[in-house]
Amino acid sequence: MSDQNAGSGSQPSPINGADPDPHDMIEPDSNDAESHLEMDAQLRDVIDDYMGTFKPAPEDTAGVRERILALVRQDLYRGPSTQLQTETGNQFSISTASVRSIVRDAVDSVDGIRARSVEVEPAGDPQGSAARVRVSVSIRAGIAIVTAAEVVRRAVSAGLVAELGIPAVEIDINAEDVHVD
Amino acid sequence: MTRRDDHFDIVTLVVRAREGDIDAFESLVDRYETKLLRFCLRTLGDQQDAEDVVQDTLVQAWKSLNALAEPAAFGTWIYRLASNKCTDQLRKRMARPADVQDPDDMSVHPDARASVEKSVEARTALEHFSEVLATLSSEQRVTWVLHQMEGLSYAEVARTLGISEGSVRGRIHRARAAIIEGMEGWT
Amino acid sequence: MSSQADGVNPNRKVGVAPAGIDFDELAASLQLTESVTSVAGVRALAPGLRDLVATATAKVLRRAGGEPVGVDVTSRGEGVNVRIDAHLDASRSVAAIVDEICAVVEAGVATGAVDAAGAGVAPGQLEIDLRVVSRSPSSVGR
Repeated sequence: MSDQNAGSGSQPSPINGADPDPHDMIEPDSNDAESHLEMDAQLRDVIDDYMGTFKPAPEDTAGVRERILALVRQDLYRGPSTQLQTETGNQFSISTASVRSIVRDAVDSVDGIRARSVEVEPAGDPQGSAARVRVSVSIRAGIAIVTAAEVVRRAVSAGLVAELGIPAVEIDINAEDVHVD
Repeated sequence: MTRRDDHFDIVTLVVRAREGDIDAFESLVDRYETKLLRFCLRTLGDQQDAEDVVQDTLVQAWKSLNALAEPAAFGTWIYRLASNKCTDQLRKRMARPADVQDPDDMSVHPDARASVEKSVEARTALEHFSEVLATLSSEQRVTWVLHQMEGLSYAEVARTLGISEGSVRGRIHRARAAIIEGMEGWT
Repeated sequence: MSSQADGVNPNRKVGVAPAGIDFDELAASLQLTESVTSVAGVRALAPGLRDLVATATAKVLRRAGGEPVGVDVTSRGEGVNVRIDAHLDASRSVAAIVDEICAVVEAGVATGAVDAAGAGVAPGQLEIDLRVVSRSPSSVGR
């Protein structure tokens, strides 16, 4: 890319030392990258005006957002389910998204850890009386993985019992990424 | 409303959203909605059409997040979905000439073949510019807006639209030529 | 959706189940809807995700222009089937709410189901099909 002063485009060299008049542009060679910038300079004002015309109003954005989320929520309610059963033997079905949410919240509650992918499978005997959990996480730079995994494991175990009422038989934590807060 | 996931990286948000985390999806919507709406407004020139495209794009994104191989490419992917819908919308318009429209509003004239040199309705360079944009092909228009107004480089436009850089260059060149010619005497 | 003219599946009779159990599906549904909704932690009941039009319950519970909301009760050959799709809040563990819903349904059905001689129906003939559709933080109202 040729170096240009931002916004000024390239100008033909002045013949007599005066500043070149932008309206005296030489017929641009269509293959010349500089000439494209010259073309754009002519239209800069009208392009800027045009761009300025379209500023989405906050209430419009909010309206679209609400409609999107309502549709997404409906879709979510039709999603897959996980079959579990309570300690007293009552079987029930729960949206898989809800179970994942419980695990995610438990993982996120640990400082410096962000839950990513969550997998919960019915386990135990009878099937569904316990849960097998696999979680992938991103951990904050500087945190020791082994210690963190243990803290997460305990948080998930406690969270499942408190929020779901079903114990975990296995909790597998995989640190797949590092982040900086 | 500040949520914990307001600062999450894109990959985390996408991975969570595709597993049903609606809060994560909401964060994605928050990050991209305004940009997408502005892009669609500039491309389509019509408020209602732009809102419909943005809504359809984001709902489709939710339903097909699993089709996105690289969560990190969410931004490019969402622009591609929106661009394709804008192109479809523009094509539909061009196939339906002579819809009656208020010449004073900023919407694009549906009849792309109308002569713009002797446009009686356009009183300002801006209005005339809108009409000139309407004469571009759908592909040229979407490509040009992505580059010129959204500020994407040729390479980024190529990636977004899933076409070669050469094709991008060609479309931009033709769009520029048409715009320069159409705006002759107006700037 | 069902194409039945009056919205009622002729195989599902209100009042008499084939095995001789005298059971009023509609009354049971109305009563159970009220008692299940009263269980702490139940935010709302959702329309069933399967075809609801085929039951007398759904027909009566259908609000003007809306989807029927409530506990769906059908009595068939062997006993009674109760289907519930529930939105919960986060005030209690899911299992605790599930247990209470089941207890409430068992009690309600036992009260309502009598055989020809007027004796109660054994709970073993009761099938509860319970699905937790969502679970929201208690502070979110929806």
